[in-house]
Amino acid sequence: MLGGSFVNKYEDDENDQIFADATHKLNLPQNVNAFDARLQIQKGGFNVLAEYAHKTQDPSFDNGYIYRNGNVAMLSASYSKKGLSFLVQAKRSDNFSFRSRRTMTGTSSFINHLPAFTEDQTYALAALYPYATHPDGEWAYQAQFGYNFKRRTAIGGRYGMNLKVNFSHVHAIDRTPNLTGSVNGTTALGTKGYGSAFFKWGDQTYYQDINIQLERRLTKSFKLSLMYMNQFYNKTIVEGHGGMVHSDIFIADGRYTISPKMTLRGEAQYLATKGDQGNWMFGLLELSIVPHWMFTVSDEYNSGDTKLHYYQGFVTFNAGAHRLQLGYGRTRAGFNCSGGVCRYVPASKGFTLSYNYNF
Amino acid sequence: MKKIFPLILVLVAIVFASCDMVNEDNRYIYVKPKPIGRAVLIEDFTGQKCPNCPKAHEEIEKLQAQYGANNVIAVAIHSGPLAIFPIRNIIGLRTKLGDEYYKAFGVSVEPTGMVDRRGGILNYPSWAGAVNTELQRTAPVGIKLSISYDNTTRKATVDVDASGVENVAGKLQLWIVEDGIKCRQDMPDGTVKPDYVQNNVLRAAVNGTWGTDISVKEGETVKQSFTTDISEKWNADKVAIVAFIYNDGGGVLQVVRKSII
Repeated sequence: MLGGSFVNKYEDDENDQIFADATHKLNLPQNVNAFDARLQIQKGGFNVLAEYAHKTQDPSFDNGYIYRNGNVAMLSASYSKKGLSFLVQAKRSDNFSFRSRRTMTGTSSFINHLPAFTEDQTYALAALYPYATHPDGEWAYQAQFGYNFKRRTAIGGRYGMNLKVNFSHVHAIDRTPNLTGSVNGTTALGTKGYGSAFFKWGDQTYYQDINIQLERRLTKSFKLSLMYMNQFYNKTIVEGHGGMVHSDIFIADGRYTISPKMTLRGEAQYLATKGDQGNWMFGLLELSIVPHWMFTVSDEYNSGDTKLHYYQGFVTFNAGAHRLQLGYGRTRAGFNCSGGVCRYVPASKGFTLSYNYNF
Repeated sequence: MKKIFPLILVLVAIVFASCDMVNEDNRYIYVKPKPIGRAVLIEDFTGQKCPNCPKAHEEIEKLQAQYGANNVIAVAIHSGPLAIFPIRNIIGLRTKLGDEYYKAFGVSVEPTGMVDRRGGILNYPSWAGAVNTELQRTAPVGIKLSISYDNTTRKATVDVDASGVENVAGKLQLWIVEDGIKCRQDMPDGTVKPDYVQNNVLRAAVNGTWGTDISVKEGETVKQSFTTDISEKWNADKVAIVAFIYNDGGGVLQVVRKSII
């Protein structure tokens, strides 16, 4: 399968006076064009996807008003059959922040989407340090392996066992300053900014994790999931402050079927780290009463620096495509310095009410 | 036709993609310097826990080097959750006064700022363009400061002469600022610099958070006088008064800065 797309952004420059020095302002391109081409080959259980995207000159606050073109190249290969799956993929992005306004900051107004090559985590402590794609550029790699041990085998046991392993690594790309054409020889505004050898790495690790998950039914009514994750999270790169946070995360998730209409699920999680705010613990109990009700209580406790509890309780009602949830709890404060500015999110405590409808 | 249609689309896309490329020789537009008509005020909302804020400080230094420190007058308003109140042994520059401005102007991220209170909240790469535009406006009022400071009582008396080039009505605001304060600052590379030199730091308002009413007719001079305390925690040698007149329609009409010693 062959695919392609093209996006044009028009933005006039009347209101954007970006001065490189006292007497020279930038001649900003009013049209920014981006195109994407992709090729996918599928045969049996094999699937290969290659994709390349290119963006023309787009001087913006994000890239320091340089005139370098942007590009993204991605290659993904996977194989799956019953009981086995395997995925490897690599992506290199370079100067590919594409916003609807060139002076925009923060986390909004992106025209494009750059997926992070890291596994989306649903467990609270595994998702405590979520990686966000660095729009300036990065090398990202991911390998994932899944295997189902059949039931009534030595390893699979009576009911079978599911194994999943994921490895993700994100690294800086090479950057060599290139100020050719600079109006005063020192400012990068108006130049190409930098050169970057395609296959060469920069000197910083942005993110790495390896996680192993096992899921096994122990009895007819009890199912246990265990997960271990080793994570490196460069908090300075992602949030603008904090250094490298290295964590070991241990998770146990048990589900007990009390009756055909009632299930009790419990989680216990522990995150051990010497960085940031130190160690965390998390516990959760969730009672589901089919078909409509769910009751959840949880507590996230920072046993490291703050010694604070972040407790939450929810009552959820489901009816067909409708979902209504009422909750009370406490959320953490924090600040995020991505996109060139720092935004503070205050701690909060109170009720929440949410409604979802699936169309 | 059906088979070559995708190819035509690709060719059109390539043509479009090459349309608005700016060659290396055309990236800068020369802007002829015009006579400076007035001084410009930059209000920089900043904080010691804000790693991106030193970049905004550098931008201010660059503009002051280009246009002169008397023509580009900056005030660093340490405010919001990324600023630090003074705590025991920690030098904190956040003030309740700064927090009032932070809230009143709807600041939600730092670093951001205002140039002559016109054009709204701007991020720092846009300050140069705004300053260039503002410097070419003619000030409708002139301000002259005379300051006498008594180091024994630590009191400063500030005499303000406002001379009307046109009829002006608005508010006169006087701020106390201090330079050369060495204290911690989060840096863009993720480190914390313990002896970062903070300049233009807003310390207090002389005549209230929003200033005092002033009305000046064309050709006339209005005098106002204020006395203020200079805290013992401040280095009087590095303290200055920033005075500006502003109104809702015109923003900051004129601004001056003068050291108390």
